Amino acid sequence: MTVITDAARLPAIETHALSKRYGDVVAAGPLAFSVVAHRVTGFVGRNGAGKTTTIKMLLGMIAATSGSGRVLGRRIDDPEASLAIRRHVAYVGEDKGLYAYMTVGELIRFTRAFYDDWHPALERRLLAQYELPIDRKVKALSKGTRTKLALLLALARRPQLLILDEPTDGLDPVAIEQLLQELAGRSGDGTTIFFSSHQLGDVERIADDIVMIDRGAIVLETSLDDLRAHYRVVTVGFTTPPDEKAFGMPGVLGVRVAGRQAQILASGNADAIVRRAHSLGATSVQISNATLREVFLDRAGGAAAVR
Amino acid sequence: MLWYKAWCETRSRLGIAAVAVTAATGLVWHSDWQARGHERMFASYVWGAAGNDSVKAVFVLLAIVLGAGSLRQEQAMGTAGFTLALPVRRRQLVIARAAVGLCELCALAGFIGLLILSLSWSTWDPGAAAQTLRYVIQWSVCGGAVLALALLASIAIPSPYLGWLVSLLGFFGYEAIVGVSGLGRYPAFDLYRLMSDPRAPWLALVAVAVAGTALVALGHLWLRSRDFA
Repeated sequence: MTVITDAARLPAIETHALSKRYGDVVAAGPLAFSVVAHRVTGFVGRNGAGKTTTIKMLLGMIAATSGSGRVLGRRIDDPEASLAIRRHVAYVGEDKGLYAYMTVGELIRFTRAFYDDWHPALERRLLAQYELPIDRKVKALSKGTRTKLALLLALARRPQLLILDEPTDGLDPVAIEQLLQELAGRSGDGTTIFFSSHQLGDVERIADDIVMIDRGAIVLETSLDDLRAHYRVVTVGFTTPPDEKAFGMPGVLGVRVAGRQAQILASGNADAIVRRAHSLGATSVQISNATLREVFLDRAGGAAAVR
Repeated sequence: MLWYKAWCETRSRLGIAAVAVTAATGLVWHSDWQARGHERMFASYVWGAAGNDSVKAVFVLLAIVLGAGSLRQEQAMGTAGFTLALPVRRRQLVIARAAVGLCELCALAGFIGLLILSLSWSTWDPGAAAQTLRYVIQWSVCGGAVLALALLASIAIPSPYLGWLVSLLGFFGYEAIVGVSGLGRYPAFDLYRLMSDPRAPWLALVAVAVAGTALVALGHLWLRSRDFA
């Protein structure tokens, strides 16, 4: 039986008004969110939303302009604490940049020397699973194989926290499936996983929680269970094109009107929306559970959003 | 393991450097042999070989080549994220890079010394090994300062080629200023002359070593607070 201590119940990641500015440009923030320990959290947002900047601030690669953050209970702005954070965090970066001049074997030997939590048995299993050529130089690997190697270097350990930035980028469907199963298994073992992805289907499949970022700001922080339980899409048909402002009421996140149909995304209050639709003369009303994609398009979709 | 990484980054450069100094030293020896034959004594031969401008220029160039390389250039190659995620301080990265570069430079200077000795045995009376060793130390210390300059340039400038160019222009520009300003009277200021100064001014060498260390420290300060977006 695993005993979860008070320390283990602390958020694995927490930020308070954390921000990064380059001159007048806000790259991220102010961000306030937390990642619950022992759970899988998907970090989603459009390109340039600030996901990678946030992750790099957490790992000490970028200094925050203001605000604060903690990873595994340690301050990210303290160089010594940052060193301890990196000892207990496995990270796969967005670009999967690895030393081109080393062979696969050399890079594995190099990396494992830095970590006490390296597991040779895991290394052997992942080497076989990913079919990595041990004697080949990294520069001769395909993008997908390089991604697999980057994943091996993170997953051959038993870290407290896994931070993965677009981990499925460049992988074939079989490798993606293997990775998702691996991550689901790690989560079951108590590893906290924080990963960014544009593949919302993958996120929906393995994540427990969602942190959504748009233009540097957190626009949604919820559990997927909560999203499934409360978020609804109400599709209403009318005889004439409806006025989208007619659905301005609590719980409505967005309204999109297409011809004589209105699609309403709501985080609650669905019954009241249905009543409003009937009072407006709706000819048909359909309620369905909102998918992560629909919520994403609304919260972070910009011009493509449900309005 | 950071030393291993630094070695992997520069090992091919070191191989090329060894070939280059062999060629340069061989050419100097050959031209010297053609010109003077057996008339010269070993001591004057060593002096001539170690003080030869061509070999010195090649050595300075190689010190710049071996010194270049930092997180800034890793950023351009896309590997900075991987390196910075390792549980090491940025200071350790700079020190490992500088230390490996210096070891390689010392090996290169030693290799030149061995070449000079070996070639001399085939022609003249051997016996001035101590003198050769002194030149090896002088070359290593002065080359180390050039290497530190190149490391600093590669920390400040993300493009490797521009970093090399700036280091090269910086070194020869500095030497020109020393020559014009009269600072060349003081051995510690004129690295190029110090490399082949037969008096082996130890105090000047210590001053150059301190200056080289200061350049590495400056590089670390520059890197310490830098963002790697």
